[in-house]
Parts: sequence; structure tokens; C-alpha cells
Amino acid sequence: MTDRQTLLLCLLPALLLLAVTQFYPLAQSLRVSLHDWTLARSPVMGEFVGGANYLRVLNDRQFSGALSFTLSLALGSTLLSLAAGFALALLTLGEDWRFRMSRTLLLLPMVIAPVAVGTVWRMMLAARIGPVNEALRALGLPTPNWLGDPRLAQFTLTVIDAWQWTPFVMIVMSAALASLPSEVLRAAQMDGAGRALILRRIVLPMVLPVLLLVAMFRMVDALMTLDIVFTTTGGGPGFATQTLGYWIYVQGLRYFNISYAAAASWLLLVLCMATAAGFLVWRKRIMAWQGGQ
Amino acid sequence: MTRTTIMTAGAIASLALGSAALAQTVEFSVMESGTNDVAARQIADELAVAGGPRVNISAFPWAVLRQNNTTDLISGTNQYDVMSGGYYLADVYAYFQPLDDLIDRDGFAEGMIDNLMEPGRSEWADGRQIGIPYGIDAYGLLINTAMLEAAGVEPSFTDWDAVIAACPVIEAATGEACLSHPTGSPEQIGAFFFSGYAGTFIDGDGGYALDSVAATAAAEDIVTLWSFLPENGTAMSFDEAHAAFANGQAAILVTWPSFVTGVLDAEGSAIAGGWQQIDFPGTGFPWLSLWQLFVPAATEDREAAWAWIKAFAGPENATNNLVAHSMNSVWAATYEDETLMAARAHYWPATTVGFARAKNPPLTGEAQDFLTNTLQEIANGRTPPADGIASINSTWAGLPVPPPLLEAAQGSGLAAE
Amino acid sequence: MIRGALVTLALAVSLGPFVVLVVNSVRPSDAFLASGAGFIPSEITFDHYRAVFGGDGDTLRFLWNSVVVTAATTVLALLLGAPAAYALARLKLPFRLSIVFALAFLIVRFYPKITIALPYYLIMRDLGWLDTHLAVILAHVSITVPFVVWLMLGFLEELPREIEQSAMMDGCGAWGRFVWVVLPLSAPALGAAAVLTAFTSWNEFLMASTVATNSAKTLPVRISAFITDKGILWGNMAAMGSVIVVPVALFALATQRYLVRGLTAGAVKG
Repeated sequence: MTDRQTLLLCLLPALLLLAVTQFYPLAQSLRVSLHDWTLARSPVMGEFVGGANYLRVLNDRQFSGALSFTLSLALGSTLLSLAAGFALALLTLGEDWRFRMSRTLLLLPMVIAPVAVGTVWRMMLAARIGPVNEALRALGLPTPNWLGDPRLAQFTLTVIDAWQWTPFVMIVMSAALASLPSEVLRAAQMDGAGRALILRRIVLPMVLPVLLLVAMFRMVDALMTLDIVFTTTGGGPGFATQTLGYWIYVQGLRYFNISYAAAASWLLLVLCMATAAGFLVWRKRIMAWQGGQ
Repeated sequence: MTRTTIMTAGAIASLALGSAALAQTVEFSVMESGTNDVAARQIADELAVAGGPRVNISAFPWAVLRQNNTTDLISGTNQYDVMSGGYYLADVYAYFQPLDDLIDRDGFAEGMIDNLMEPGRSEWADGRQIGIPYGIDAYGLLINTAMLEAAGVEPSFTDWDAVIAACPVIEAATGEACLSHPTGSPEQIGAFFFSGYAGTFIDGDGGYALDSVAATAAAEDIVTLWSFLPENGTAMSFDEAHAAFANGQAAILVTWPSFVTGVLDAEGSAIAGGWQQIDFPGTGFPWLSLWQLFVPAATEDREAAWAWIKAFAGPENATNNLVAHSMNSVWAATYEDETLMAARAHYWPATTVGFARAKNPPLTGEAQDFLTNTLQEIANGRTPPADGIASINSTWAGLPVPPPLLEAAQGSGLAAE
Repeated sequence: MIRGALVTLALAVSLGPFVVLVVNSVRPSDAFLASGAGFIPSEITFDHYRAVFGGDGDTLRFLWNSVVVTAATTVLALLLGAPAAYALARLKLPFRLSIVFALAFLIVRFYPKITIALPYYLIMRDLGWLDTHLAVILAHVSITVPFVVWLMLGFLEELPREIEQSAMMDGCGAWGRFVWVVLPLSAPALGAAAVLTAFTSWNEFLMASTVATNSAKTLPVRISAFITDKGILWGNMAAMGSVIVVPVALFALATQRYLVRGLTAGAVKG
């Protein structure tokens, strides 16, 4: 067997698996979204309806509500985790054992299953008996209804998502900072008035491409949020914390409105891909502009 | 001694031989609530010892049970031989087999609470019975006797307006919240609506529709009632809500009585002897929870499934299910038992009245979820009541009514002529 | 100094919930339900762990399912992904197919899996593989192979060709070069890929809950079910949560070097 044949054989199994378990279902999903099918009422797919499902989704108040919450959660969580993660990367910069240990410990929220994170925070934030409000009560501070008030619940979920993924930002930015030329690193670590300026004028532009890449990952993942909604609020109170992912899950796997859910999921897919592409283009532009400087 | 041994051996042998055909496995799905599932495991063990079929119990929380049962049938997996469920499985009734012949053959219905085997209570499809009741509960209202006395309020409310009128008085007199309820489980808010709304759920054209005026009034009542919850009490779990009542932080508890009566009367409970259940207010109906056993059409060993049904739901285990597992019996005899009644005089009278009045809302899972979620939006002040009801009607217009639910609704007066 | 204070605050916010979780898992339920409970529990009880692991708890079975699925996924993802990455790095394909294939692996990362969940469920149903370990493993492998390919691709492109050239001159075919020369050198990258894959599979919820309907359920699916139950107590939920969280945290601490490498590779390059 020639080298070329061997290599092709190496490539094939992975591609085949992907084709069967990802791309074929993807195509099926598209096909189903163009027909009329509610699994509970009929075991076989119904007739072709073209874009009717898509139109219904776009006109559904549930969809627009979920879309608006998903966007605000994605933006909020991304900005929050970028800021906190970058700050933590700066704060823990250095080879001192204390910094290295801090970086290690700080990564823990990220490795826990999102569903478990949701459960943990639900317990922490129980308005009447949870530890957070217990502590606030002991300090004489107001005790908000973190998950029971609709507006506040949206904010709370955003913060929980940021809490979980800030370590990811921190890790990547730590690596980015560590790969900077040593003079820059030393300047960034020194105390004093010049520090902020150096960070803003020199360090930030140098790590901007990486920052944008991390932002892309965060934003796209946040748009797909489903797990934490499941275990904190179940989309409630009312419909307040329904993300697109959660709403699609309920439509498809709880009510079995398959073609409706398929159409909505393709709309979410387009949103995610467009976001990723947008960030990549932006990043390319920045790098080109920086390269030209 | 030897003779007894031989006779016992012979009895066991014949039982074993006779049950060789019955040495099947029955897969059973049930709610994981600490009541139904625990009872199921106990009875399954006893059944196995007595030579009956081996029963494998799969227990899930309510929403997961509903989803798993539905998925199991629709996907054709057919993992379960007997399923536990209720009216909300209406979408998949076509997948269950009728049990009329077995009911008649063994005279199973004799001695059951009146009317429980009728359509509208038990589940029927195409004129034949598919669901066998085994546990019944009706949403209840429990009061803290001392707190109501202190406020000078009569422990009797005909409708929610009466409760709304009494609550400020109670709160002023006791300094505690008036109402506790598992607000954190979104579907529970339905209890207030079903009892406060006296209209129909299905219109003359056979589609889901609420009478806007009556529904809006009921929704407005819910908004007011929510103001009487304990502080930060809009997302309480069942445990929290029950604990608030048990610890004297709320004068009235609106919940499923079977979840809490055992806890309230347990040793060491702060409120033992200081509470009672009274008739559920409202001109509508108390929400009925009639747990039933269904047999999927794909189940092959009917006799094994039926043996399990008789063991689990039959009168023999009813008393033990009640006493040990807080599962309310569906058999009339249980409620005529003097000893049981003596220990339960502070809630059984209201409970049995509730059973007679209680109904199932003729709603599919999706219709009910949309109703209760929107009611939550209304209760939280995110949507004005009239708008919320309008959006319910508009979404409901797109949801078909399964024929069995239509039949049931017509039978129980919840469908327009 | 203020830097130390800020980092300590960050540590408290990051780790506090875990501490609370474990503390509540040994605290009696009534203590938790009565408001006014302090931070240090006055009583310790292992009832919740007993309940969660006991006969009705079934937790051991779900733990086992998770172990099986994660182990198989990690092995398979490496087995399929590493050779594929090698092929993409060394193979010259017409029509820029290399880029097309690399992109194919890439885009799996960027669409919501909910889109394929239901069709995948239907495929598994038709194959009769619903509620089997295999169904979950296949789903997980398809999600993690792109990570592996990406990681290895980035690493392989940096690997100087000369290393393989001497093997080639000895008459070693592509497969031989891959197994005897490239793989040993890629050990760190493979380690990173393995750790990343293991975490992803262990924590994955959507696909597992879709196709593992009963006996094949994994731990994340199990814990998601506590919320909607009418009677489960907070203590049990905390115990269950601790069972999921603590081992993973310990494993993460032990393998953090590989984890960090896995996450930063490719991100910090150009």
C-alpha cells in the first residue's frame, strides 16, 4: 500500500463517523424542517411545506423572547468573562508558586458539568434558605430573589454562565501574556503609574487577536446555552429565562413538534455560524491592520 | 412438623409450577417521589416472594417520567410493560391497550370509590378503559388553626375572594405571611386557576379556548394571592413551602396534601395537632391527580402485567400504601376504617369531599405548560392578566385536542356544547 | 497588597460554591430548610449519601455508565482523530480538499447540537441502539474528534519533516512513521487531547439525555432530573452534586497541565 493510500485510510474513519453522526443528521434536520411533522401525532413525516415552519417560528413570541434573552445572556456573559478572565490573567501573571497555584485552583468552575453548575447555584441562590442570602441577611443587606424574580433571574443566569467560563478566558490569556516578549512582560508586571498605560497601549493590542478568538468561542457557546437553564430555572419564572437552546429542546424533545423545532434549530445554527464568521473576519482585519502598522 | 413442612413445600411447589408461566419480568415506570416508587419496590419484593412475576422498577421525577413514557411509546422502544401516568399522556393513548376484559373478568372495580373508573376520571380511549387508578389526590388547602383563631377568621372559604379578604387580617394579627405554596414548581400554579375559573376549556368547535372574562378574573385573583406569599417566596420548592407552613411562617398552605400530611404529623413536627385541611375554595374544581397504570399495546405478557397491576393497585395493599407511603387509596373501604379515620380526622373529611369534586383539566402537556407558564408571567407582573389570557387563547388555537380528552371534557362539563 | 486581595476574592468566589455544596451534603435537611442555619453545620449526617448510593439511588450504575462512556470516547476519539490529523498534515489533496476537510472538522464546534439531537435520536431508534452505551459513545466521539484533530494538526504542522525523513529512508511506510516516530513525539499533545476529550464527554448532557433514556444514563443526566422532582430534598441534591463535582475537580487539578495545553493550543498561535 502506498503512503498516499495509507494516509487516506487514516483520514477516512473520522470523516465517515462525522458524516454519519453529524452531517447526515444535520441534513435530515433541514429536510424535516421543510415538512410538517409532529411525532406525537404521526410516526411518519408529513407533507412538504417549504418555509412555513420558519415563518411560524419567526412570528412566535416565544422565539423572539428567547432570542432577546439569549442575545443578552451571550453578550453579557462574554463581556463579563472577558473582563474578569483577562484581569485574572494579569493578576496571576508570573512564575511564583502562589500564582501558579492560584491559576490552577481558579480553573475549577470550568471543568464541572454545566448541569451540575446549575444545580450548585440553584442551591446557593435559593432566596429564602440559600447560603448567599443567609450571608447577606447576616450582614444586614437586602436579600434579592435571585432566581424567582424574572428580570433578576436573567441577570443571575448571565453571571452564572460568566462564572463558569471565566477560567477559560483566564487560561488562554495567561498563555497569550506569557508568550509576549520579556521586556513587555516585565513592564506589564511592574507597579506604578505607567502600568495602566503600558497595558492599554502595548499589551492589549498585542493580545487582541487572541482576545477576539476567545470572545468568539465564548459568544458562540453562550448562544447555545441550554444546560444551566435546565437545572436552575427550567426557563422560568414564566418564560423569562428561556434561551433559544432550551426552548428548542422543549419543543422538540418534550412536545415532539419535530419540524417546528428543526426549523428553529436551523435558525439558531445560522446565528451561531454567522457570529463565528463575524468574529473571524473582524480578527483578520485587526491582524491585517496591525501588520500594516 | 414434617407434615407441615411437606404441605408447605407442596404449596410452594404448586405455586412455583403454576407461576412458571408467570416467571416473567415486568418493566414498570413510576414517579420518583419517595411515595409511589417506594411503595412499588416494597410490593414488587412481596410479589416476587409470593411467586409472582419479577418487577423491575424504573423511577423518575414527574416531568422526566412524562417525557420518558411518551418517548418510549413514540420511539417504539417499548421498554416498559406497565406505565404510571395520568391525563397528560392523552397524546399517546393510541399506544395503550384496553383492559376492560380483565377488569370485568376479575371484578376489579368492585369497592372502588364511586365514579373513579368512569371516563373523565380514569382514562378511556375509543370507549374502552386504558387506565387503572391506584393513587388519588386532590389539591388541598391546609390551615394553621392557631393563626386563624388569633385573627378571628373562620376556617372556611368558599372562593378565593374570601381568602383574599381574610389574608390581610391574618397577616396583621400574626405578623407572618398568609399563604405558602410550591411556587418554584411552575406547573403548580394551575391549581389556583382550575379552582378559580368556572368556565370551559374547549369551545363549541372542539378547540382549546378559555372564556376570557372568567379567565382574566381568575388570573387577577392569582396576582393578588401572590402578594401574600412569604418574602422572596416566588420560587419555593415543595420542601421549602411545606417547611414554611410547618414552622409557622405561613397560615395557609396550598399544595398536594399527600406530599405533606405525613410530614406535618410526624414526630417532632412543630405543627402536629395544630393544622387541618378544609374544603378547597373556588367555583371551578380542585385539581385531580389520579395516578393510573397503563399497559402499552406492545406489551406481550398481559397476564404478568395484570398481576402486577392487581398487586400494586388492588385493595389488599391499599391500607399499607396509605399508612406507610402516604398514597391515598382509591378503595372506599379504606375511608370507612375507624382507626384510620380517628388519626386523620383533621383532614380526611375535606380530602374525601375534594376527591368527589376534583377533575382533570382536559389539557395536553403542551397546552397545560403554556397555560401555567403564562400564569406565572401574570403572577410575576410581567404580563397584564388580560394580555396573558389572550396569548393563551391565541397559542391554544394552534394546539389540537386529542379525542379522548374531548370526550372526557364533555363528560365532566369542561367543554362547551 | 491589593493584588493578593483581589486574587483571594477571586478564589473565594470560584471555590466557595464547591465548599457550600460539600457542607450541605452532610447537613441534615431540616437544618437547611430552616432559615437561619449557620455556615458550620451543628450536626453531620451521611444519610444523603446513603440515599443517593442506596438501592433506590442507582447512582453507582450511572457512575459506571459515565466511566464506560468517557473511557471509550477518549480511546476512540484518539484512535480516529490522531491518524486523521496526520493525514491532513501530510497528504496533498487536489481541489484544496485538505482545507475543506479541515473545515469540516472545524464547523462541528460551531453549531448547536440541539439541531442534530432529534434526527440522531431517530437514527438510533431505527438501528435499535437507543439507551445503549454505544449510542452515547458515538455521539461523544463525533463531538470530540474535531478537538483531537485540531490539536494534533497544530502540533504536527510544527513538527519538522526531517524527523520523518530519516525513517522514510529506512523504508518505513506512512503508517510506520506515524506509529513509531510521530506518535511518541506527540505524547504531550495526545495527553492534552485525551484530557480535553475526557472532560467534554464526562460533562456532556444534551446528547446523553437524548439517547440514553433509562439504563444508559450518565451522571449529568441523573443530576438534571433532581430539579423537577416533587419530593427530593436539598441534601440529596447536594450529595449527588458532590459526587459529580469533587472527583472531577480532583482529576482536573491532577491533569491541569494537559488541560491548559489543550485549551491554549491553536488559540495562541497566529
